[in-house]
Amino acid sequence: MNILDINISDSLPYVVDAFANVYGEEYRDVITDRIYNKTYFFTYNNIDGISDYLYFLRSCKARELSIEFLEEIGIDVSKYKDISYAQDFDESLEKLISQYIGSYRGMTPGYIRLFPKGIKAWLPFDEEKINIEEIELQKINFINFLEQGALERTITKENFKDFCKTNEYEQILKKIEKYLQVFNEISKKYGEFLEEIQPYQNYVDQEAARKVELENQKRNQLYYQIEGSLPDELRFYLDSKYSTIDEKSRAVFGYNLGSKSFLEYFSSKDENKLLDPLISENEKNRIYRNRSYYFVVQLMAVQSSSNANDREFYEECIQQDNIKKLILPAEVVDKIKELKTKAYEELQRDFIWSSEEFLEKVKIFGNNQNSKEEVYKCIKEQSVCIIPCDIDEDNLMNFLFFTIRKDGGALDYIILHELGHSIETRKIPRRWV
Amino acid sequence: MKLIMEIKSIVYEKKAMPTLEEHFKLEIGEHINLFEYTINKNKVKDDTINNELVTQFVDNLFRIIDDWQSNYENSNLIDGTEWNLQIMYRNGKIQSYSGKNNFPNNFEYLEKIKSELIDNIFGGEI
Repeated sequence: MNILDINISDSLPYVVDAFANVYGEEYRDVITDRIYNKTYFFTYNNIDGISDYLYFLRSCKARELSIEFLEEIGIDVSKYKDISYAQDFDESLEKLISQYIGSYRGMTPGYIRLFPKGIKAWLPFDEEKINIEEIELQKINFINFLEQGALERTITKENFKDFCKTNEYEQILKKIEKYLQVFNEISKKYGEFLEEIQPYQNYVDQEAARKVELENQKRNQLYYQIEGSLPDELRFYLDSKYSTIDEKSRAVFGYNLGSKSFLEYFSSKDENKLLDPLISENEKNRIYRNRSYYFVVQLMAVQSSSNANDREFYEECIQQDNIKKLILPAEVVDKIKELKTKAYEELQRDFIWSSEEFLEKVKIFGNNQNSKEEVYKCIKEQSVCIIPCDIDEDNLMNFLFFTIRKDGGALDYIILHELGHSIETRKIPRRWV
Repeated sequence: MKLIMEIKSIVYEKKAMPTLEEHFKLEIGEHINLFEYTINKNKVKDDTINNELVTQFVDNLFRIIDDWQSNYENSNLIDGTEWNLQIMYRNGKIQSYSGKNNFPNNFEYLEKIKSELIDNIFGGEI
């Protein structure tokens, strides 16, 4: 079983209660029947959705812990006890937290090094990344905030060094050290939470790596496919410069099959844009710049006169015979572009069709290829919807497709919404909801 | 140049859950030396981010949206997800892309370059 399998069966009695409460007890049996017997839960996962959900969970935990921090250092947080950690804090709370520890997100060591605000200014920092004057300024701001008028004078950049020699500073420092101890405990708890959700992060990392691997394979296959249509000069050049197929295919197609490569800026479409007076100079310059990248980044380092703009640089490049001969004719580029688009579509398809989760879940359709194709489309579009299916003339089964999408963590709300559709779709003709 | 990317669920009312929408806004100053972005309403300004990183992001963005149509819509679904991407140029021209329950084929890369940019700034710490 995948750790990410979403199982809501334990929650279904509460779902029935909730809907019966709204529709009326007299409908409880109908609601129960439609949820338990007429709804098929088809849950699946996607990298972006899980990744976004992890971000949401980290934010919730960081909000919770930042309130805990304030409480531990003796600030009255009773009025914040019942707030939802799923939502942003109000401005006053946000400001209060910011004065003590900077952003509530800043619980990890790396973040602390990057944004040493509030008490964090007294933590060790990376001198290569953080300006020492900035640290001093943060210390001054925090002392003035903490003491708020209790000191005889306001601490400034000019008097800070002298102030550091006083007993008052010694006393403040003791207070800050106490706060830092609390903060360390809070950071530790945050670290433990990160460990707890690590398996989900592993899923994201593993799936992302699987996709990269598939993309590499597709790109290499594509290179073999078009190698014969490349001009001899370019082929010889690639053979002489690169030893592996990975390097050659990246030089021609770029890293991402779904993103326009530098080479594709030599297409007929872009050639026409350069000749079109209605196309902006900005856009034309972008074409010249990307064409130049093709020479510079992908093929060879080219020296340019220092003040050349994108167009001038491109024109300088193509004056050089050794470079000019590496430009592909527009029709060859167009063909490559077409094949690359197709390869990208295949990549997306193969990524889903080869996943263990997909293969396992479509087993219920047996050999029904059409149903599998419909499921594939839903997964590709990250659909969360109800698809009513006629089993026979009188019976209808609702397929509830659900995945964690980039919905900012509102999973329960969304699944209840879909179940509402499932209860109500008996009379609705074939339409996805 | 100003860039606003927004993805929101239309399953729930914006008012009901105002903070749960995904919102990414990027403003690039005249000389690409001021960088401001908003993620879930947390606005961060950073004047130390290097121009190369932002230029790279913008170049990548245009490589992704090169073949995009201005609108993508799947009318078979009643509710779902709406998205919007706006690029505002200094001269006031606005280039806009949007969709409802339908996305350009390579939409995933938009998220990828956004994450890469944020990771590069924060070192993957948020």
